[in-house]
Amino acid sequence: MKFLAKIVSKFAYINLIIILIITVLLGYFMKDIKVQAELESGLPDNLPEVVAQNKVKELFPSQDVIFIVVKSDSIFSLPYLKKIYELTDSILFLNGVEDIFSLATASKIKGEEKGISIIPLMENIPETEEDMKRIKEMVLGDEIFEGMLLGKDKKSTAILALLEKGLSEEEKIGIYEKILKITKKFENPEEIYVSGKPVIEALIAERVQGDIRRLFPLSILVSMILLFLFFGSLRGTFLPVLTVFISTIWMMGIQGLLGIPIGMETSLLPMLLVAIGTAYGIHLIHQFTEEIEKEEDREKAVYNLILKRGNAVLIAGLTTVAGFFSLVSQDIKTIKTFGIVNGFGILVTLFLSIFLIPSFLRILKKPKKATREIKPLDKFLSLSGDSVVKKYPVFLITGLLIIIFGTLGIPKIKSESNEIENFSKKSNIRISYEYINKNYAGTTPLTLLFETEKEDGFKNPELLKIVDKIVEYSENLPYAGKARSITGLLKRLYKSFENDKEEFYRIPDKKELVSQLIFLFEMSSNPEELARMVTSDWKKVNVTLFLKTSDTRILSDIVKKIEEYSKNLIQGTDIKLTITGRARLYVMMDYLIVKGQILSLISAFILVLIITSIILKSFKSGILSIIPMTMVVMGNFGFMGFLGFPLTHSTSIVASLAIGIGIDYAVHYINRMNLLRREIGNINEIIRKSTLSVGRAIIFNMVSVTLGFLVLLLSSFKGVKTISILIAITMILSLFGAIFILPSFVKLITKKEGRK
Amino acid sequence: MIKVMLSMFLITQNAKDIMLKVHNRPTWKSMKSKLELRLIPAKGRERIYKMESYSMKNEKDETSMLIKFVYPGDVKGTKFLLIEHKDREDDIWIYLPALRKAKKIIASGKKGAFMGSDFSNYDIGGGEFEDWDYKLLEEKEYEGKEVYVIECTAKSRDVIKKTGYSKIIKYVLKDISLTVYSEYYDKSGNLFKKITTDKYENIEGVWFETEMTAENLKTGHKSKFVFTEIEANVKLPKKYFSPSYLK
Repeated sequence: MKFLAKIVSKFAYINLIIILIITVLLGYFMKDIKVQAELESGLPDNLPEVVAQNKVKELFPSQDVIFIVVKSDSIFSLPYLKKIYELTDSILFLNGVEDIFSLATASKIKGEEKGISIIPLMENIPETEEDMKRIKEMVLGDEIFEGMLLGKDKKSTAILALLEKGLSEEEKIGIYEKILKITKKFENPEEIYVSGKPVIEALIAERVQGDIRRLFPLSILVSMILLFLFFGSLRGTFLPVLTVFISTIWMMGIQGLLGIPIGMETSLLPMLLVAIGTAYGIHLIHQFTEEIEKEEDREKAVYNLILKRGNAVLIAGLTTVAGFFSLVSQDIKTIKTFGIVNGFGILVTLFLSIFLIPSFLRILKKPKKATREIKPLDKFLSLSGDSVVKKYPVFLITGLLIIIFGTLGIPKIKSESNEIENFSKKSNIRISYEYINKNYAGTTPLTLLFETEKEDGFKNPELLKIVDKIVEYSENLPYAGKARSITGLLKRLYKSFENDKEEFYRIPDKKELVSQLIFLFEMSSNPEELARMVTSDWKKVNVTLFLKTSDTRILSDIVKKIEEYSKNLIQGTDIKLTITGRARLYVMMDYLIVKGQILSLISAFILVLIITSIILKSFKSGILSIIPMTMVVMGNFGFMGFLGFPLTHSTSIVASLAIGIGIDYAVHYINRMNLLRREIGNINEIIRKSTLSVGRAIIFNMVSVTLGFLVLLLSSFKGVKTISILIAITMILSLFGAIFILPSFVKLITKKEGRK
Repeated sequence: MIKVMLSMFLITQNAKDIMLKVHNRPTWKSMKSKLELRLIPAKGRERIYKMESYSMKNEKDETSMLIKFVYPGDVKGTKFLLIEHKDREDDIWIYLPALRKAKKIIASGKKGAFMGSDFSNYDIGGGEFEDWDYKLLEEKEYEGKEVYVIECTAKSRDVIKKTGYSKIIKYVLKDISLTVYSEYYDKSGNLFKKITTDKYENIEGVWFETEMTAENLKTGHKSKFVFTEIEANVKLPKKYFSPSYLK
């Protein structure tokens, strides 16, 4: 610490220049920052379901579909059909749109005595009532059209825009925006809904950027107001904010440089640094105003400052870093990244606080006045100390009640993994999403990947019949829509070759017929169509089942049922079935979040225990500091359970974060008590004095962190809003834990020891 | 100004003339040959189809074509019959030996793939000359031969939708009006396919592409046609081209 104090106090100018150079360099790389909105990209790569999903992505054409649904009271009318034709046309010609499936592009396959006809519903814009009637006749009663293109309420039809493979997030946003622009022109009197995974991802990516732009300045403003209220000086207001600002540039630069994309959670970095990081500056400036009163020489004052307060700042920082780093134990990559990036962010802020702020203080002129006094606060604190001394059992019982509250709340916590939950029920995207799920095949794909070793293996009718059974079973599960499967295609082809007789709606018995029917199909269709269902060597079959829900509990149930049903069927064959697709990955995500929550909590506790034990130079004190945190964590889960906040990707970071930030309060308090113990013998006096002297710093820190996080209430993401509320709750609990529960506990122990 | 416009006119007129020559190249009255189609994926094993093809022209210059599959075993005996009509949609018949049934396929649109290959039905069947605007881009040397580089631009959106192409660049041999290389641009104007004539021969006074490769640049998938044992202007029984003969 002495060495550090020397460097900081002696080389103020050099420090500032070096920091400036690094800032400019890293600031340059901020341009390379990318946004990543895909939820499942957070899953670990070695998970069998992820491996299968990547295989599907590699072997089969793109699955990204944008749903455009045009709602009208009369869908079988010339103006409506004309609109569909023109809308399809405009979207088809967009760059990045591979193909379109709509009433305007679909063909009806009919098997009749005279031949198999493949007739487009609309070859041109329908002009006459005759055309209209013909189209209506072809659409109604056709299971493919009714399932995919026609809404269940018969009040809308869909245009499915298939996107090209390998588009970047930016390109998808671009396509979505262009589609929106086009649909605007076609709206009225029809309503047009646009949804689909690329849309949701595009919106998330857009909102992530929007949130940073909106919330970062706001959180800085809030923090500056708070700092001004506290210090009443310009340096007090600007220096901590400047530190955090530079840290943000550094971290964003590093992310750009290393190609770490920003997601929903990682985008919180700037706001989190403001909320958490300004506290370090506060400590230092506060102490400096005291030091400079005693020591006129600024260099010496800075030296003393680091010597005295350096430790406290380091403690506060390191425990928070530990809280963030504990998230590395999670399996989900995005949460890991969040932990690492924010942990380093705090380290950088810590480093800058110690170098930058004292360097400025050394250069700037001596301040005029010390910090303001806030009388009601002191009154509250002395009252608090008093009440602990007198009524400590009350607080202990309260603490216990909170733990019980948490225990009761935990079973009530639902886990949830779905991007759509981030959008409010009134948002356009959510309305579109719900409407499409209700009226169409569903938007959450579940993929059944069937594999066999033999070349042309799935041309074997025996294997196809097994696949068919599993597909039919799956299609009939609740919430399941029609599947896109080679078996369905074969059955339809067979039937159409046999004059549409229903009895031929089945898998052919001979391999030759399978090959020949497929051959026939290849002649008359887009080559991509077959490629979506089966690889050219016929070793892998991809069945996509669209589900009308993204509720992970239902999804998990569906997966289990299909697994159980198929188990016996594929036994003894060489078929390997892997269930994957987004629906499956959501289920995995859920499982990993729950598992990760437990793991990261344990590691947060262990990490923090090690740090506090070292800092407080006693394992006992380390344990003591953790006791109030147990209550905080349980309180967090209690509120989640009873307020109905689900455990998600986002909220799973709260517990670790709360431990990392909240433990400081306990550490400060214990530290002060240990110091006072050397001077005073009476435990009551120690408690009263400790509360009075550190209570203020703790309260101020709590308020600034809480307000900093409450800014996130304005985020466009539900998950982030929930984080903000939960952190606010846990910070209040941490404060309560540090100045009420902790001393009450100490009092209880000393009493017991006294009896012995 | 007039000079520029005049030269513009000459360029387009010239291009159109060149392409008209390509379009109206002489052909045989009838032909019999063996045909191999190789489908070569970017990764994985290639597949081969072997077939026999018979074709004949009638008095109205309409072509009829019969294709019999001989390999692989599971499609052996499958037959396709195409009867071209100048005044209406072509007739397509298919015979599936597994069902012992022939069916007429009533379909429109030429965007579909020819036998699941990278050649579209349009590439094989050729298209309407008047669907395109032609422009001579340059004259240069291509693999040691003098070629015209012609840009064909779709005249309307309907043409793009029908063919799947917004633009085609063709390399046409100056001496024999044969296209040796072409580049295909998708509806959004992105290059996505190349077709190369690997081999061409003069058989009975007609220049004919005996080996052609199409490559999809998006998927890396390639398809190659190889004609062998071509017998031009042979006598073929008329019944070959009647649907009843398929069975």
